[in-house]
Amino acid sequence: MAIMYALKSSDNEIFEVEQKVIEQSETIKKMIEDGAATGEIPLQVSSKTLAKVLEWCKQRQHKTVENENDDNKGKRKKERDEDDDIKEWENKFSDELKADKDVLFDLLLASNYLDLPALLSFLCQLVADMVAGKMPEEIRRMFNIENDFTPEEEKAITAEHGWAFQP
Amino acid sequence: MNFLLFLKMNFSTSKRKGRASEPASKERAEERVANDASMSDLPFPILMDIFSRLPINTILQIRSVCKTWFALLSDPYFAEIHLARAPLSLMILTNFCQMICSNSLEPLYKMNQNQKQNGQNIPGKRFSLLTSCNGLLCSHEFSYKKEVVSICNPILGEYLVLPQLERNRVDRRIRGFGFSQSSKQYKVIQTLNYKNQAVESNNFQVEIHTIGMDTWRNIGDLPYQLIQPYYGALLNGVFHWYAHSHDNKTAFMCSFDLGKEEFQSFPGPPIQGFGKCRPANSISVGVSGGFLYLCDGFLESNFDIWIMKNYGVKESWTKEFVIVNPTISKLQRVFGSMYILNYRENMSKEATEDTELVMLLGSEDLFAYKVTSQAVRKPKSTCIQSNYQAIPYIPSLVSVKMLQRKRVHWGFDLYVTPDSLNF
Repeated sequence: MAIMYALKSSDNEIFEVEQKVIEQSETIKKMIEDGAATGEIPLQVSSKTLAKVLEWCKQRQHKTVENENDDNKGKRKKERDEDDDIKEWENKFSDELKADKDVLFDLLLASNYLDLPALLSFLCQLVADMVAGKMPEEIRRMFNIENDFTPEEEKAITAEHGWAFQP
Repeated sequence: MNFLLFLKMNFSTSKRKGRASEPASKERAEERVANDASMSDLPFPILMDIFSRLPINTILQIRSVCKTWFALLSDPYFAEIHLARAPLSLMILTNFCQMICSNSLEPLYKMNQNQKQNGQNIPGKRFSLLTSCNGLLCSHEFSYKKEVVSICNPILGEYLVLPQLERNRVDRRIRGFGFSQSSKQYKVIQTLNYKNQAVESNNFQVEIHTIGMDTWRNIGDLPYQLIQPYYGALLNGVFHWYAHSHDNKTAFMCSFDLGKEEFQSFPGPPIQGFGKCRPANSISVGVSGGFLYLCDGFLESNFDIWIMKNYGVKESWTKEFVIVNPTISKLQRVFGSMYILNYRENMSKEATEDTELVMLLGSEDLFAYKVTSQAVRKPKSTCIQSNYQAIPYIPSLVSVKMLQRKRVHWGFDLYVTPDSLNF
């Protein structure tokens, strides 16, 4: 029987999670090792975001368990199929986040706070892909950023290297 | 530049009180639920992690999004983490333009010669590219009276000229430009031969210039002849060469540590007769994907690519590719030096039919070699069909101006996630 832990979100929702799943978070792993994880573990993460975090952790956990059970025979084909499955899952996960940037940014903060390097890296790449090739105005609109430059300042920055590249 | 400084100062006084510089705290998390999500709310280390994954043209473009972004993207620390992720590319110079190509031969960016303004680009009209390190190009300009060697970042349009030599009548050769992690300095190494002295052959002197200083320092005699590559192959702050003894009796590999400034012998691959001197064009030494390699083209029928799997361990030299392609073998003998641009660990073991080894022979023959079928492909771009000079190069934001003065530190602590340190 797997050991279960109860995580409490900032809006007081309780999530029951297997130890193996949640141990991917270095922050929680340390709490468990230090014996500080008795009863409910209070986290500064909203329930909506925490649900996403756990969705990610379960998927990753799933992947590692399957790999352990693999025998070498026929592994390559199986691996390739699995890679396709994971890709598909990740695409769906990304699309949901792209549509809801509140959750995306919250999830970035949560992955940082919970010390989930794989998730943090995945999300940073996701945001980078969203930013790549876009013009400043588009980015400001997309990510709700205020332009605090005066028009003269902005012009000066654009002019500085504006000549350098032609894609 | 004054303008840049102004913005930075302005930023550091006003914005540091702002939300973005605070760590992710409980209050913030709750506040965020009520407000619209803004990317400005992310902590600096996360923003830098995101930005470090962007191509360089996007980075230059998005500096004008807001003051916070401008400051982050102009920070020398950001230049470092960006560099760690930046892919190896090629700087290509033709009669008409300068361009940057990815290491799979796709053109990335192009700068037309007529767009060069106010000397912001590579200095001088008649120059040649020597070598590059961390996005900085070492170039050479030769004219009737003087010889100018300069270091520039073509992306930022910044350059500096290395100190001139006092005596002109010397045979001077730049032999390497590199960065030493241990001393955190960029250095150029040159050899000099004062021709008027009696014994010529053994009379090469070695001089070092640390970027940002005013002089060349003499560090004594050159202990051997550095045969190949011309510009030391840099790995871990150490240059590597295939060398001959001055009397041409023995051959070996040697290294030069940029921190310690010392020559040493270095373990070479177990090639039969390696200790005997060979013509310079039959061997190439270089670094690709963090590995030292040696191409042995002594046999005319084929050439072998040896990879040093564990740095510094003699037994780890492995013959990973045997290239049987008469065209390449012939070209190697013409040009001598060969750069492998895209090696990665276990490349031959994991090779599929699409796996290509991209190679640059000399500085003007670029092609991709299919590892399994041994077929050869040439770059498609019309711009680089003929008459070009290319060198391996990483587009970066490393500032030449910053190397000349003390580093500016911001008033906040930055950290990198373990993932982004893993390069």
